[in-house]
Amino acid sequence: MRKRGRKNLRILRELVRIRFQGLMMYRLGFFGPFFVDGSLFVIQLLVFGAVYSNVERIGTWGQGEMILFIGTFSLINAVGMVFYFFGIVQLPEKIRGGGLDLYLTKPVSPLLRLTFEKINPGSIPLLLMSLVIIGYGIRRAEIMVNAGGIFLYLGWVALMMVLHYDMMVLIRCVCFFLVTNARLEQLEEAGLDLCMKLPGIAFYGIYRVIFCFLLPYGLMATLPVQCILGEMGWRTALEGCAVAAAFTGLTAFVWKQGLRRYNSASS
Amino acid sequence: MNIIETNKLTKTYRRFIKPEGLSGSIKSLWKREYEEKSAVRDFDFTLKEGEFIGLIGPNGAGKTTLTKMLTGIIAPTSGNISVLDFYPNDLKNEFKRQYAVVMGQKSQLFFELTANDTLRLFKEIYELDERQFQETKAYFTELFGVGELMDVQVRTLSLGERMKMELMVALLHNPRILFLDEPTIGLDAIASNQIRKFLKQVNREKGTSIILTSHYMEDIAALCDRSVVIHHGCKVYDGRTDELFARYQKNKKITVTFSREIFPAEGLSPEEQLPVGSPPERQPIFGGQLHLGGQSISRGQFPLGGQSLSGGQLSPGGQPRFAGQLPFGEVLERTPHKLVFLVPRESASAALAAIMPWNPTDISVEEDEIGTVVERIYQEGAEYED
Repeated sequence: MRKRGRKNLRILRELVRIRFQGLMMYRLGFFGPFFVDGSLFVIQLLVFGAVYSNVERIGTWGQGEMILFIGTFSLINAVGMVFYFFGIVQLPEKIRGGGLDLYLTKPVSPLLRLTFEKINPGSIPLLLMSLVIIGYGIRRAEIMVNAGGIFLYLGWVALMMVLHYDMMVLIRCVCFFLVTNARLEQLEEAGLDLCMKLPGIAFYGIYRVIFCFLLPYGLMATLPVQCILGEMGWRTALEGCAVAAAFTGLTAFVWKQGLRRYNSASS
Repeated sequence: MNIIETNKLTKTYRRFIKPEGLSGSIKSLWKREYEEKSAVRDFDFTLKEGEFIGLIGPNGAGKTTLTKMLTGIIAPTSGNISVLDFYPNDLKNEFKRQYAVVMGQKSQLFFELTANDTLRLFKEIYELDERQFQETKAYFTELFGVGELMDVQVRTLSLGERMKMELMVALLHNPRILFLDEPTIGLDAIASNQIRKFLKQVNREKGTSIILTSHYMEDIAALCDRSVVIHHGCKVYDGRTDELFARYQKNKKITVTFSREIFPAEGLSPEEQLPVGSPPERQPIFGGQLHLGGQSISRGQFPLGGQSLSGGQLSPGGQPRFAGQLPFGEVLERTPHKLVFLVPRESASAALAAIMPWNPTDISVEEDEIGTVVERIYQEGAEYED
């Protein structure tokens, strides 16, 4: 197990190295994304600013908490953009076009290779900006934080990143079984868009079931923020862990079944 | 010792049959019809360590599906399969470390980077230590003669150079089995020859078992002692390659090009003007339908110096003309400067001897196309087992 972990780390390092070398072959290709991703992020912030400047409270959360929520969601999103988004997003095409063939014949997890072979340093500034927003939100909400609180908050952020990754992979694995997953990707986009603007505490009844348990985007930034605010009860924590574990298990199962169903493409 | 064994291996796909038109599409929303398509059917096959075998068959015969099952990329529908004592579709890393696959139409190189960069990644994937990595790299760099290309962006390499790099990447970890799917596709004659030479050497010196899938008879004839022919997913021949050629490769296609007009369209009767590109079965030449002994030839376009050609030989005297009656061949294509015809293998040298005095600028001789050979085997019902 430890040996495999070390091997995966070595491969990860090599993938990162290769990706950087590939991007640096063309200067515009390397520097361009910093500008484009940064601009998109600023536009997103302006939208949030416009929405929340007119909203005093959502549930028990005031503007400071909302800024913290937005920063946390941006952080999760930015980590995905830097590390795995561009790798996973090409999965449906690889399944349909037979591009997965060569991944399956190498003695390394095809999912690991796919996940990290298209890391995107252009999104690194988003990470930094997200951290600035989080800091500002904490100050604005006048939250007293200590090392333990930050540690727990980061733990929840990490767990929710896993959930975010699971959802991305799961939705794209549908292509192992169906010809297209385009509608599901639209659903994903709509869910993320909504839950980036509305925290999970705003959902009740059927909406809570949908956005916390079926398409759990409603949990992703909400739980870490609830944790740092000290609003998280045992039940909420258990629910969050259970959802993350269930989706991780489901993703692993669907991926494995998908590989068994994989029919490649005629050459 | 057998390193590959399959028994009644079958792969079936389900295909949706769409009724014609919009009404058919509407009906199919509620009730769908599917058909089962067997890509590989009841396939029995063995491979011994160190063997170099050719997998032959026309498009859609099932060669690639078989290769994909043997490498674990896809799972069989039924039957038994064992490769190096593994069930391939379990996708165990210990199994994947022992083979390599090169697909002529799919690249494992990073196009923006150099071959050296790709090799570094594969060194980590196959867990090679630095010394082993450098030794193997040096061996293949020298064998393929690509020393000066290792630090060049892959996208700038020619197709032949790229294929050498693909092979190098595949062979870096010294696999026991190498699966090659159309490795010479799109390559020119020189590059194809080089690749064949390297493969032969790798098989001989490293003892690598090689399964070569190809459409090109030249590849199979030059490299493989044993051939397996697949047709509609079934094995129709498994045996020695030379025997396969002796039995089923009956014709050679000869293309002759001249620097001046040899076969003018005018001056020939309609019966004499053969349509270009007609199916060979319908257009026997020299044997009667193509009579080139008419006026156009006697105008002196054939530089035979007072000789005429008859019955496949030059005969002295008379006007220079192609008198017809050569007892071989079927025209495939005829233009004023070019003649393409099919002759039985045993008559090929006689045909060439007959053509040479006409001072052609170029002659090429090709074997029967793979599809033709497979069809012939299939039609003759030759079930041949080792």
